[in-house]
Amino acid sequence: MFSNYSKLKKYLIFAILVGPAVLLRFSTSFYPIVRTIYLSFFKHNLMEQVHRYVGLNNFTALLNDQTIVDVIGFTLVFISVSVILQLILGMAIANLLNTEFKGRKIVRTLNLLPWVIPVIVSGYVFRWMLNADYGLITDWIFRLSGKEVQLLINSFYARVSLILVNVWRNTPFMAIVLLAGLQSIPDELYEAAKIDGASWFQRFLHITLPASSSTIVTLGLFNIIWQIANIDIILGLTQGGPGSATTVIAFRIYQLGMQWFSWGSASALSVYLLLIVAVISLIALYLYRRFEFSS
Amino acid sequence: MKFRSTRNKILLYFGIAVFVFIILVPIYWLFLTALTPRTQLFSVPPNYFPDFTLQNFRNLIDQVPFLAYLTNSILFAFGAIILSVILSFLAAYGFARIEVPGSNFLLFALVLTMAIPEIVTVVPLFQVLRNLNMIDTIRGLVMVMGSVLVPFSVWVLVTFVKRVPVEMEEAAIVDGANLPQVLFYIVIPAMKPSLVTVTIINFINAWNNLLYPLVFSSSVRAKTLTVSITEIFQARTPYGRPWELISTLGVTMVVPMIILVFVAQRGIVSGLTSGSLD
Amino acid sequence: MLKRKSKFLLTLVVLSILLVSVNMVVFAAEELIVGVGGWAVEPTKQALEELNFTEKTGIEVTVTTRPGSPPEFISQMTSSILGGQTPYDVIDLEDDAAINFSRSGWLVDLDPIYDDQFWDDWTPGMLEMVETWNRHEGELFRIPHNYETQYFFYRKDILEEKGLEVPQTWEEMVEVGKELTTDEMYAVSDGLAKGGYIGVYVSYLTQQAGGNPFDFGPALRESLQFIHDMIYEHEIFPSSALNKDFDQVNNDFVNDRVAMMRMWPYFFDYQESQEDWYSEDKVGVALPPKGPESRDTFVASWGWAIPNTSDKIDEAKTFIEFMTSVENAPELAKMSTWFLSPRHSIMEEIDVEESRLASNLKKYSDAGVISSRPFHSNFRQASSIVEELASAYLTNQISLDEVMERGKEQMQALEE
Repeated sequence: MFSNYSKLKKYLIFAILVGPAVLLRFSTSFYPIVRTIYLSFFKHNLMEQVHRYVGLNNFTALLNDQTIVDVIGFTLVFISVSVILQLILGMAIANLLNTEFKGRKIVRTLNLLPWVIPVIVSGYVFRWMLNADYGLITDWIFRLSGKEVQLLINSFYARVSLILVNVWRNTPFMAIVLLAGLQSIPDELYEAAKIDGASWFQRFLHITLPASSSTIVTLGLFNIIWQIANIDIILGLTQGGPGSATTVIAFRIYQLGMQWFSWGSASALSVYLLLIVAVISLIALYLYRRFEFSS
Repeated sequence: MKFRSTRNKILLYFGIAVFVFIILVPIYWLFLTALTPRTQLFSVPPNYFPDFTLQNFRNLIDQVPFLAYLTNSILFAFGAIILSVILSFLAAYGFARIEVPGSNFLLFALVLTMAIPEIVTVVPLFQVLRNLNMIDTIRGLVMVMGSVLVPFSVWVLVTFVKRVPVEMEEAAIVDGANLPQVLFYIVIPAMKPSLVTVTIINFINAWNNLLYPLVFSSSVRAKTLTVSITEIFQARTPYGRPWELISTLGVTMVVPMIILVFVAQRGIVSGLTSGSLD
Repeated sequence: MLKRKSKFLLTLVVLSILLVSVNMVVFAAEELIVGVGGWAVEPTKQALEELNFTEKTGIEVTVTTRPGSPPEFISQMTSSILGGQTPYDVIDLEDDAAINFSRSGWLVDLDPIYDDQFWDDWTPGMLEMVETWNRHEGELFRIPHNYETQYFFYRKDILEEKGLEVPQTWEEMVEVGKELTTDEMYAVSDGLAKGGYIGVYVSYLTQQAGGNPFDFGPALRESLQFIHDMIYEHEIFPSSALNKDFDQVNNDFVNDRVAMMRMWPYFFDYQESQEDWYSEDKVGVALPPKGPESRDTFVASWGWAIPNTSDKIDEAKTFIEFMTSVENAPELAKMSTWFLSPRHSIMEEIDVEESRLASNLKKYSDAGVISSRPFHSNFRQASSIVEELASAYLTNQISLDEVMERGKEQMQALEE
């Protein structure tokens, strides 16, 4: 199209069409990142009204703080355990939703619910269900085991709860993505692989994944990135406690930046988070390219 | 896939039952709590069959400027949709139809911005909005949220534009139509389902967004329902948090989403996977 | 096709107009907006009405609720003030927020309102508090309207029934506590949730151990160890308290689930509102059990302040002057304990014996156990550090040594 237009006119139309979207997005994403990196070299605290160049101090101070190291560690545990569970459960649900049964349509619809409910609401609902005195789940655990548990003041159980709530919320999305992959595969191929004795994981790796479009694969990866960066569940469920047991990097950035106004430290921690995201994005890029060329 | 043996069938239905149960319990509990009178809420064991009441909704409206927050939420979500869908549609059309060197890279860079965590941009955006005098305004919120929605929308819409046969547009241009006419009379009608899909997905994302309104709004002028629920949570009562009010507000936020899912399940799924819209 | 298009266009236009129009609505409120904690809305309204504020000054006032918890409130105010606005023209500020806002230079100097004579109404103890918690670089950024200390409440009836004496030291508290704890009742409790609760109890005990929590010294160590022992070794203190705020602890107390507690004075009002439960011989107030160093209890206060982004600073000053004047202060204190402080004018007017709060304030004051609150110039973040580490230790995530080590490092990073 537009092949009969002059080059200049073509470029101009392109600029008019694409320009506004690109300008809006880049000015509110790339500029802030540059600014964040800049601020990370300063002690910039609104409360104390200081703005002073400190070199790499913010970065080293963060790593010298054992609490932050723990927070980074838990972030990695949180995301990897979440994703593994989501892939396993998502695959199971995708297979379930790909099977023919009565009421499949409604179950497919219900599957979307956890994903469309505001995350902050889910966080509060689960917090209420885990309430040590009046909670629903607390009551069930008591009836089954006879123990009165206080899940959210035990650091291990609080972490488990947070991960499970995150899995509850995000697995449906994984399931949709994986289901779309499954649907693009002929049944025969699957059955054949089964007869050849391919395990569930091998089938996933060698049939489902390659057959899924690049869109689906990258979408799955973006979803992982969004989970790292989301603070809503934590804000709703545990507010980072007990102690800092369920604090992830993103939540700490929120505390540093918006509750303590230590914008320098918040920026430095943001840079660490960006590095982690960059690593995951590189994987996404690799897969995106690979699948784009292969399909 | 079909299951043939009875044993497998039982297993299948058991699996479905467990799955549906896990999905529905929290939602059921949210609605039940919203309908439970406050006096029956804090009991051990929990009250599974309370007397239902709508009093909590009245209390909610009495205690918070609910209508103002609802209006803000709607304006925020619709504003972000309008901004993002219009800009993204134009951009997607440009990316799909006009070959310009480097446009692929530009598209790639745009899509990649999806990976930027919102939390990382909050501090600088705060300064930007302050300089533009847009702190605590719906305008400012719409701008940042619209921007967040752009890359995904462009990404999905590019695929859909490419599926519209180019011949009709070319014919129209030959007949002397200008570009806006082509867009309005040919492309938009042909893409209506996908535009609706993107609109719905963007609506869900904007409606559910907490971080931006939380950080960039400070009064009833711009606070949304998501911010309001965090404020109600802060209120203290001798029993702990006012769970009946939190749940009531939660229900009002959840109901539109549930309706949307039941009406547009197919569209949402196809939009998300942008693979199989037929 | 045309029809569809026009429909689509119409929707767009309508929505855009809607969007623009809402932003055009200028919130030019004519009234002075006063933000107070939810519990103080009614008392404040009542006070303004009974003292005929609007009639006397011609200023219309809207009293509204501000977020009750310091972290959320500070977040809200920051985005607002940095945006050059403010949701309130006058704010009722607690210590936490007051310190942070004053260091940010966001509060109007209130000194011009008052002449020297005004301060004659204040006791030396209060003036000391004003100096630390209400002044910065010579400017008065907040004027306190109350003076709250924490009291030691105990169940008179149960101690008597079991023939126990009121504990006078930490050790006695543990001994008595073991006798008091049953299946239904814990001997001691307190709100130990993060976000402005656990920090209070830890500061209180640390002071009794002879130190300041922000130093991360031996006194803090001793107090944390003491709480930990009460919870896990002696089992006289419920671990569920780690998720509770003060209101929930009060509720436990009036439901016979707790026998002794440290609590802010608003419990006096709360107990009396529990008509079915309350009677004079149920609740006693004693001096705090003595720690290794002292039996002190610190003072906190709330006070009025004006954000400098308000466009009604003059009216706001009139409001504050009215609410704190030597003539009106006693009237306000009579109406609500929220406005009670030991200012001379108030103490002269109030029947100390009649008022449960005033008589106990006098008792504590006479015993010399009221001291000033442990201070830090970045109070909010310093408190968060103490709270997070204390909470981690009390939920057995880290050792006491780690608390000390990490705390010192984090405090140092804060100073740098």
